[in-house]
Amino acid sequence: MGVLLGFVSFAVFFGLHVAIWRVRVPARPYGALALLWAGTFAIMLVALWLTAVLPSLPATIYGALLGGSLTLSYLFFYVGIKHDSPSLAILRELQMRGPAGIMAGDVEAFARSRPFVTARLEQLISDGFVRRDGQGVLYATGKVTALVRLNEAYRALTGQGQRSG
Amino acid sequence: MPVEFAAIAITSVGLIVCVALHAVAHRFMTLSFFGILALSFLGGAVAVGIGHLALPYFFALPLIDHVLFLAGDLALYCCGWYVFQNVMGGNESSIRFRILEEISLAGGRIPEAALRERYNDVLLMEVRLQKLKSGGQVLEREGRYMLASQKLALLSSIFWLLKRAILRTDSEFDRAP
Repeated sequence: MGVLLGFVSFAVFFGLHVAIWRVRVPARPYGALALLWAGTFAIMLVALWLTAVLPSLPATIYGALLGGSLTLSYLFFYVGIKHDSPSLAILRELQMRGPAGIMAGDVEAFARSRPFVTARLEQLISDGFVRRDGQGVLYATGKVTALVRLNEAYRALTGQGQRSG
Repeated sequence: MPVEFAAIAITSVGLIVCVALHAVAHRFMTLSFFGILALSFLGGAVAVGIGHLALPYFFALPLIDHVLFLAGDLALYCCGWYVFQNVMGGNESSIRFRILEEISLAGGRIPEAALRERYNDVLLMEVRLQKLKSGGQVLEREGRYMLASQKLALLSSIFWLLKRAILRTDSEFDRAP
């Protein structure tokens, strides 16, 4: 029961997500996605309770963990759908241009037409992870400092260098 | 103990094996980036599989239930692995993480101009092209870059189709005024 609850709640959530997003993308899509799954799961539990087939507590916990994990993974995947990847953008451009490809000298113009670093920096500022003062100095706000430090510690522990970006 | 908790414990062990293999392989082995990803993923998946081979000795369940729990645990394991790769292990190329790392390495504050000297749109694209070239996905011939990997072309098309289907746009930069 728990396994089915997890898979079905995610499937229903995904269908609702696509239907809603095609009409209008919410202003805060990540929070909206998390809320949508939680709402779907809760409504499914209520529906099961009304039909007198309420799953056991361990099955409910397993279903919540599975459905929540699938949703969390989808949130990371959704970042790749919502925001372009520089590598996939250049691959798509090369694919569109066919055998002619891109002149090496045109790469800079292509990069400037897709200002990824600028866009991500502005998103970090608007999400409150980075603050820019009047003199154009950027500050880490501390919201994700622990995560970044943990990540740096893991990279140091495993002998990985600075990320390439 | 309920079988659900045993199943969660099996997945947890699989993820611990995966993370340990990932760390050890990075530290002590000379495998490629994708080699380390494959080794750590398969190692953890094998641990989940072994756990499920042992499960019938402790829980007498119908075969269909064992199959369902195996499917659920493999899905849970894949989710855990994917999140780990995104947050800790393999998110080598995250632009946001790189920006936050630059600020962190500069002591928590950095002038924007200094950041852009170290990391900017042109540099980013050049780094990505070099990676694609060294991986053989892109060829450089007579001063032109050309696509060499049909698999990555397919991947790029899948993301483009998903973007069209869900967000009804071709690129995030299409929306810029």
